[in-house]
Amino acid sequence: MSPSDSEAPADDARGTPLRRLVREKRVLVLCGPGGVGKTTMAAALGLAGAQLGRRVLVLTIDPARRLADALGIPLASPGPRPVPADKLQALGLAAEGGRQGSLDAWMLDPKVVFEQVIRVLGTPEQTTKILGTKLFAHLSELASGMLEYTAGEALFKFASEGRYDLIVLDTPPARNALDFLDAPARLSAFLEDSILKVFVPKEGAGFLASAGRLVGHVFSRVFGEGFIADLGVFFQAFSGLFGGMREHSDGVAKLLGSDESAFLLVTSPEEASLREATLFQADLLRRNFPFAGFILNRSLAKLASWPHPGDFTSSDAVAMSALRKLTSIANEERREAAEHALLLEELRALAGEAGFASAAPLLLDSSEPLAGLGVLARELS
Amino acid sequence: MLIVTGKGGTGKTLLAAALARQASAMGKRVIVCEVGRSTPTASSLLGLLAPGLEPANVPQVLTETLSHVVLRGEDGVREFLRKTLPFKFMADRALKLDAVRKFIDAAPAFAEMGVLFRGMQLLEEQRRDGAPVYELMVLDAPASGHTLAFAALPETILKVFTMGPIATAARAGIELIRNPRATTVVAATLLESLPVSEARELCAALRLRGLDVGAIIANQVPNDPFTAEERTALDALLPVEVLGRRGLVRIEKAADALARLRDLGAPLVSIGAHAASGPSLLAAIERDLSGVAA
Repeated sequence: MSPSDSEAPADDARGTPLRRLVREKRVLVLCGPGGVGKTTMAAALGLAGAQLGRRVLVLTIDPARRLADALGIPLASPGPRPVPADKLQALGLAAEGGRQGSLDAWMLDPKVVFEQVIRVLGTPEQTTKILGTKLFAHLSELASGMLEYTAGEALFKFASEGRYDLIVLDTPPARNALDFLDAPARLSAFLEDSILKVFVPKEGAGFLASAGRLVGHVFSRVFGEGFIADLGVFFQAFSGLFGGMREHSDGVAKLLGSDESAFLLVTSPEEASLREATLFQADLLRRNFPFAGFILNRSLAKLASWPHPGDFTSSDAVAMSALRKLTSIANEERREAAEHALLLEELRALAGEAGFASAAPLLLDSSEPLAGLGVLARELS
Repeated sequence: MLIVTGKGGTGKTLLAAALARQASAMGKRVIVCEVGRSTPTASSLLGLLAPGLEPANVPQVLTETLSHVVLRGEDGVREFLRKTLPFKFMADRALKLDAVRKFIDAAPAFAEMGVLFRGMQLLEEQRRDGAPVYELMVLDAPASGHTLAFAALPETILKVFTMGPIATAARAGIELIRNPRATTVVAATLLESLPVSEARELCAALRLRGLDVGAIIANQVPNDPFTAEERTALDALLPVEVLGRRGLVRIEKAADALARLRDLGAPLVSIGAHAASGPSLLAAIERDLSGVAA
């Protein structure tokens, strides 16, 4: 099978654009709508990086048992775990040129990350107070953006530690590609501002305007006094942590905006996901994040060059009848292949001079995630 | 309440529409619902059932026995506040406040609880003779991960709010969704390995939450036109890379996938792979479903 990017103008002797990204970047961010195979693609790119001799971390937000099994890591763990060597071997990834890369993976746990952030930024007293509230115990279920926010925090932590050459970040499916960048802002909207004023008693009278009184009344009526007390403790202890959190998120934004990072948009040939992917691209470009290219997943584009059952013949009547029956299925696939090839062209045009669009290799039998990941990794790199 | 769920792209909206139409044709008073955050501008569910009609957050009568509504979290929150606060105007004023809006925005759990509350409120509506206005609510639920969070929500809420009006509403929610006589989930899936695995995980997780899985609908089940001899002949004759191979692999995998779905212990319904789209696809799916809805 020929590499999918052979026609891309940006190609040079060092390989496909994707291979260059995997070899050179420090952070690869995979964005895209839900259900297009982002997580699988992240794992495959991570494997590809390890094969190129780099120390790679794949951070995924998708607690998919199937992927965890494929990589031989536990579904829930307090931090990154190395993908065992025998798994790497089973995936057919031998180190290239004798350099030994490594692959760690973590199914991110928002609660673990958030607790670490609080421990790092807060005093022991603040930490004990916050961790003791009911609100903390359920914050990840109640507050929006926790997953996105903690993905950013985890990226900050691992990027500053220098344990990894490459971090592949699989972002949560979102309507907006950059939701996870906006998450700290949304989370602090939850944790500070006017809400804070309502719950954290301040010295001196008069800070509660009539709006504040009404809010206070509404909240205590609706939530009950016990919860309000809990909320007060939480917010009061938390207010000292915002400065540090903001520093972290500024650090993440800086790293992601630099040329050490690249954003990849994963899409499937379905109309809805294509539409979303193009919106994501516009969003990235508008905010000056380094958009690298599109990966068209589940595309049949490559089938276009495959032979048709009509090209075969047999003296056996049974075989001929089977070939005839296969014809309509083959015709449909040929039609889809042509459609997807056009799509790829459109994505290439959309990606522009600096970007690229690649079709991910087609996995005929996606029921073998192990073999599938290996094939993907080899072909992507 | 019939909750239709499944991973994105499994056709759950079509199935919700088809199931609602069938139940309504059987004479049940049905309301079919979709979940929306703000007023939607286009609705594929409504587009299938009544092309050209604008979706709305108050029930719209489509036929004598079929209505449609968009369940919005903020409407539920408003209704909840109206019920909880001593004066209705307080609820309206509270919702206009920046702090309250931000709080609801930042804590989607409340908006989702609002969706559930709004649904419960519609189910409680009575006609003058005391009979319920709607005998069946068909909910085109958001994607499966979300449905799970939704199913777990009242319980989570109860852990944080052990008493007070929110706890009361959460308890009522749990009573509704955990009562197999009142609520059942229909899980839609495609036959590829990943969606099947996810459907299996979804069913297990739903049951763990005490929800009833009423049926599993396998969508786009390929038709197998080949005899065993023909398969053998094709395998001997053709290379791996040939047009039609993907279809052959699909047919082969479909049998395994159906077996994996069958052993979940819920009735399994197969829907064929139809080339149609829009209303004609809906009609085709309804034909596949006919008799099963009962």
